[in-house]
Amino acid sequence: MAKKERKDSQSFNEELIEKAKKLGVSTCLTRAKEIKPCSIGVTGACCSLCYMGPCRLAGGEAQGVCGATIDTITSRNFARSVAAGAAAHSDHARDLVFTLLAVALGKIPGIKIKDEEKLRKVALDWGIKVESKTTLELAKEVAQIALDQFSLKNKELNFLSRAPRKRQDCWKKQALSPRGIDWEVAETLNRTHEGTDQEAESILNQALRTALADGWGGSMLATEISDILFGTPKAALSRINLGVIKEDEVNIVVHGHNPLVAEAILQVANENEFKKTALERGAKGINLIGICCTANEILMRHGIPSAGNFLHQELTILTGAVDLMVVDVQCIMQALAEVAKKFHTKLVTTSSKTRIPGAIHIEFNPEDCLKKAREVVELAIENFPRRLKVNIPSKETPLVTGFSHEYINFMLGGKYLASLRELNNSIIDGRLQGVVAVIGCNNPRVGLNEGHRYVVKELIRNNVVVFQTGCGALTNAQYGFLLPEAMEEAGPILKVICKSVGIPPVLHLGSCVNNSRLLTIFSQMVKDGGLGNDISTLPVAGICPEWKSEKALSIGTYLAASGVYVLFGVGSPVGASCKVVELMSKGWERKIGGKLEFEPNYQKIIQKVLEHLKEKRKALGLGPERDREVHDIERRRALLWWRNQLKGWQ
Amino acid sequence: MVEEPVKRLAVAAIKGAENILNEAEEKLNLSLKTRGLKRDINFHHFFPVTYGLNSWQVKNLSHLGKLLKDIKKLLPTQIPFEKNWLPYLGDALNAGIAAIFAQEILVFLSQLENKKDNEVEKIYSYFTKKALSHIKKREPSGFVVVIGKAPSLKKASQLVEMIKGKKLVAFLIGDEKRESLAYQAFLHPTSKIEFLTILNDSFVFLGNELFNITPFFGFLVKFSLAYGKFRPGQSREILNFIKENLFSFLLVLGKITDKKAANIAGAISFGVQSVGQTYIPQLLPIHSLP
Repeated sequence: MAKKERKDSQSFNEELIEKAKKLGVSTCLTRAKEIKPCSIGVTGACCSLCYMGPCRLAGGEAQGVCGATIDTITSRNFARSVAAGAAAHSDHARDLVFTLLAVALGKIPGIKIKDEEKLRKVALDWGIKVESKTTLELAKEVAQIALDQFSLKNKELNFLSRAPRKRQDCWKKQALSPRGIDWEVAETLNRTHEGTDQEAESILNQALRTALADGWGGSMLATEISDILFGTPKAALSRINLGVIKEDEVNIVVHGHNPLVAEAILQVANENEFKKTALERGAKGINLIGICCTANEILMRHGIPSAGNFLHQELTILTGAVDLMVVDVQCIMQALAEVAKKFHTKLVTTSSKTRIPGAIHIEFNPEDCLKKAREVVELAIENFPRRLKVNIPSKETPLVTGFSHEYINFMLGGKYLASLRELNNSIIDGRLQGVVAVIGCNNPRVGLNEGHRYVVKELIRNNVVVFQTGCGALTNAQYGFLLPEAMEEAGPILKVICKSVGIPPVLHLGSCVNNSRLLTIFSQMVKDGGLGNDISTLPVAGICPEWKSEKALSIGTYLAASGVYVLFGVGSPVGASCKVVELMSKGWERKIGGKLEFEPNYQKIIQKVLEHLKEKRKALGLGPERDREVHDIERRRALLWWRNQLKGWQ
Repeated sequence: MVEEPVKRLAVAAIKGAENILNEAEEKLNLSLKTRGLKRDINFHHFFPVTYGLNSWQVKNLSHLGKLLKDIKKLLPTQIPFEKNWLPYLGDALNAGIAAIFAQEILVFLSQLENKKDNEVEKIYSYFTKKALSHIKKREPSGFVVVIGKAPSLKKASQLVEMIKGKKLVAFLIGDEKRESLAYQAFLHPTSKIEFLTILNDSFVFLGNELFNITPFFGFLVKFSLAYGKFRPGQSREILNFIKENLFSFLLVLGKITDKKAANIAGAISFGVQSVGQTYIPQLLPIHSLP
């Protein structure tokens, strides 16, 4: 079964890769085979911070020209990557805050606040009085306070108060509470400048603090504000794979990370005028499709289908059926422009922060997003008749998406009993081993999606419920893991839970910034009781099997800083320094209860995670099957008695 | 794949809730035509569940239409599919509680029709005495709502003895055929007693219609408001109090129809599980709220 599955899911990719070869176009998959990574840089032993170098350090005693040791260099490189990742998430958040402010000031008439209840909740959490204020007044206040989060004066980030009290105390004690989102990023770049911070532990502390400014700052802001503006996700059915591209419709692919572009295009693409124009050009309609994290955003909120993950972006154009690909920020391959040239596809950049040679630039600002969206849709429709030969693989796979933290509470108790208590109790009673988040990117250097698939399959087989985000989620969706029917591959205990609630064994939480939903969920698991008093006591873990992005390093670090054990696959960017490896593992565990390790072997990743969950359960005194509370047992016995009495009554 | 019992129950509950809401809408519209719009309602008296859990207020008959619209928002927009279904538990629980809210409208209209609006208070006093004794770990050992009738008169007597033996207090209601244990074990077939009658120290006849189960949930909420000292709208605290302090369950005789399924699902929110003549899977949640 596994081999056939693999062939099915990969065969369409191989066809298109062959097509690319014939056209003389490379893809990331072929380039990854041709270009070998630098053997020094890949372990973090190269310093290119100043022009006295770049210095390549080979061997433990080596030093750079300035005298920087391998420990300093690897920790600096790591911290800079974390800062870059944090900056990416946080700048994305800033764009959304400005959008919220523009909506609040009435500057975007076509866009309304979709989740007023969430807006009120965030406002209340932030100490804003909500009585007798209109939605727009509240939105303005929330946006203004959100902007302040980027550089606070003598205050902590607002969302830190969501964390368990013990976690907040740990951060204070270790001087890790972030002082402002941009502040931490700027300080990291300063500290890691040549000749500044030269102690690995000190540099890594700053990396932790910067990552926290991302997780509990930028990413959380981006998540909450996107939910407020565009709707908090709830369960929906959708489809994924290249088969969602339609031969007889105008195909617009949205790629990148900022949901505003996709939401604006979605809104205008439904206008009658465009439907009419599309018909006039010979198309039956307009087909909006996502790739990468924008796909996750519109998939979660609207069930808009996705063509695939990060590795599919070139392949979609190779089908010959993409009339327009619109991109904003992050994870957009420069090679797209070259591939697009071989076809009729128009590549459009929309952010002031992204320019690609060969692409058309239509810059979106919050105030004119709908106008620009219309320009994009018009361009796509105009381009439809210019198609050449198309070959769209037929494979498409359904998936269930939409698991926001609010929805997970709802699905376990309805409106009146919404909570995570049943999740906690499933863990306490020994039925579920724990929760593992499998997150992050795809990396063409580790083969096609095998890391994600293997890890998730093993976890659910071992009765661990899996939360997924980002391209990892899109990957496993293609293998059918995001369907309730996937419970057949789950262990018997997880299967029973899935049947009781009606869920897949793998829950899709959203995009990269939505990894902050994990922080909210883990904090609530602590609050709902029975699993200790901190995130570090929960039987939970994080795995990033196929990381490639600096954002992934920031996410992994903020999870570790929040008390979670995190394992990254592929390879270690700090492997050159045993000291740094040790600091990030045992050192962090002693200091903050969480840790970050790199392990390229997937079997070992599974082994380590299952062992970790077992240890956490043991520390909580949780056995294989625990007795329920006494009165509960009496009631259960009473009901069982009645069931037996009525058996066989006809 | 063989349909899962929980999924089957969830689908039935959602369909049942839709039917109940449609029935409530029809009867309300008819009543509004015949009775006019202006009649004032003592809302917290007649709608203890809706009022207690939501603190919604309805001043007169004409506002009940809007109340029904608010209740309808609790219903899911679709029934779980055969394949690739969406999670069904939360939707089923919502549908169940919506059914109970809608049934309060049906009970109210029926009480108006039959001029039995004051009988509920007598039974609530009876319930309060029993509940206070139960909380102090004295008799009764709990409460059971018996829906429908036993397969035979012999089984009906057996059932009555089992209930007495287990020292439960039983509330008897009819099913969709308006048949109940009350008429098998206590009342003469020609008896004109319709509903809200204390039969003896351990048995109360709530009525021949399935919707007559609703006053039982009303008692639970009123008791919780009074003795838990909660305010209307503190739904989590009220429901937690009921679950923690009052052991009760539904005993469902006969087949599980859609409307019965809706009430089974609705009962879960009160911590009330169900047992039946046919297999009824246990629905989550089963633990107290944090």
